[in-house]
Amino acid sequence: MWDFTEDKPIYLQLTEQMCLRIANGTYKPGDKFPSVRDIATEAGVNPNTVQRAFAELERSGIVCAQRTAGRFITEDSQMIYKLREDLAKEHADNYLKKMASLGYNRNEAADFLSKVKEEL
Amino acid sequence: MLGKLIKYDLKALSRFVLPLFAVLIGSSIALRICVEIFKFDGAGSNIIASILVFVIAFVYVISLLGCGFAVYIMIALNYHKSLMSDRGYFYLTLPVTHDMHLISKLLAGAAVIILSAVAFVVSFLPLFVGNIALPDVLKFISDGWELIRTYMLAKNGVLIIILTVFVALFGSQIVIFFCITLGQLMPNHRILGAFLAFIGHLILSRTISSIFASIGFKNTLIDIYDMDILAETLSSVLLTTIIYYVVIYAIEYVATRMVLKYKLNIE
Amino acid sequence: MSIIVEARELTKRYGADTAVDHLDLTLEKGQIIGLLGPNGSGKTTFIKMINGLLTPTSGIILINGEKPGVNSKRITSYLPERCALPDWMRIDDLVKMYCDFFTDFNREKARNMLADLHLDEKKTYKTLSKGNREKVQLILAMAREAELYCLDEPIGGVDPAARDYILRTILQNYNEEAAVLISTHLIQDVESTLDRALFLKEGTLVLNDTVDNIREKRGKSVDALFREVFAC
Repeated sequence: MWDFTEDKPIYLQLTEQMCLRIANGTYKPGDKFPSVRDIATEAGVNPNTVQRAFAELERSGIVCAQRTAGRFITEDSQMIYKLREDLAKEHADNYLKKMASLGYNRNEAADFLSKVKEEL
Repeated sequence: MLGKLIKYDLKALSRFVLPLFAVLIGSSIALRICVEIFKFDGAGSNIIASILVFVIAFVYVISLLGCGFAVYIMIALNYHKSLMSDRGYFYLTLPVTHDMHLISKLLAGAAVIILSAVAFVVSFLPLFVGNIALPDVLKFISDGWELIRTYMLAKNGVLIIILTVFVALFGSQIVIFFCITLGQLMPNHRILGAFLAFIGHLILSRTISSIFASIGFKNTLIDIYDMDILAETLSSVLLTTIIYYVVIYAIEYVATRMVLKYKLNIE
Repeated sequence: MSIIVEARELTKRYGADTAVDHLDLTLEKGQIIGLLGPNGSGKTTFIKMINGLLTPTSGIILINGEKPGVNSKRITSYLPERCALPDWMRIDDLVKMYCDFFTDFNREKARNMLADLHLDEKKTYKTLSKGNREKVQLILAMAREAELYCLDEPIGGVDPAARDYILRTILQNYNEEAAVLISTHLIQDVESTLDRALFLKEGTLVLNDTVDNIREKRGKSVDALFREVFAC
């Protein structure tokens, strides 16, 4: 399901969440993308907003619009792999920043993660 | 679209008016039946019979009176409810002109008025069937009509008839709509406003009437024994009077429509 | 983008009271616009002027370039705040009445929506609860394929599940040739549905911006901004 916060424009959040679904394989490469109307109704979001999010995705090449056939997710697995990596990097960056605020430096943070990954 | 408006106005009016007619005709029939039954029984001595007949007769007379007034009360209520209450939010946003709203109400009201006149007459039938000969009734009606035709319709007969029908069916309705519509111009004092509007109507009538009077008829001495001249004069007077009413109602119609279009505030 | 509603210096005064004060705005087709403001800020007055129920004291209001009249009423679907339908009629009678008066009314759609919300067509309008009456009015308004929808407090009186259904219906009905004007104070619920937000304070337009811009420029939601602007 779609989850939106209050502080950012919804089209940005939509773009992010759609990227997430592409990166984690919920939407598979070459899949037909749901229509603007479907996503708008499902997410409770204005269709123009959805349109804007789609435009962002099209711009980055992750989604290709084929005139009459609709929108499709790219078959370029390299691109998807890179997308996944980029998203993962964001999380990593976040983790490091938060650990830094606790006083852990980078090496310490990395070691800590190895140590606790069994427990979590 | 006008037809549809009329359909719904008729539906709204007939909800109240049809049961009333049913009571009217029903009580007339019941009265007749009771009278017939008790005739055979030697009614005079039977107190219960007398009371029963009295009650039903009472109901009948009340319905007769009621019909006359109730129809106009229903017309007023329907007008107020559809256009000035919360329902106005629906009716006044329909894709029709304000004229069509007024005309629809007038026509539906006219239909109901005619129906009430018919019900009125029909309600007499059960009482008189068998007691009065039909040929006598017909002769009475045709004699009366001859009289009217000779003395009142000598000149411009057709015009007089048309205008009379118009005035009878639409006139009172227009005054009602005029008073209600102008009355709502006083927010919070709509009923008072309606009364004031009615006074305005009376003032308007007097004014128009003096204008007509000053235009005057031929103030010649007429020979009332000359039937032709008498008939002509009576016709002229009748026509003038009717035209005077038509003028008043036309003015009030226009005023109602103007206020409806530009100054209405349903709250 | 074509303009469907235009207000220029639109003003409505009641004696000394100014309900709407020199309003200048345009509404475009294909947008869902929120008319937001506290009670008495002039929202309903503005909507009544769009629908020809009130005449302006001064200024102009145009729908598709024309003053409110038969033509604008034909293409405008109005949902008033009040229950405006003849309450002695049954729901199916009301559906028939809408069919009679509005050529753009979609009977199938209406009947489907009534079924979705478990409303029995044979019931008399009078006997329904207030919430159900509002649902019926809303369904009838949304079943029209109009060019302009004016919804005055469409979700105020209904339960949250019905609210979601109503907002979803508004989104499903979306078409680029129509504009939807929603007047409400339940901003949180409708915010993601809106393209644009109009803040009306004591008859004056104090904000006219897209929801995206508001969030980007101010880093907060329209709801949060509203609470600031209209803080008591």
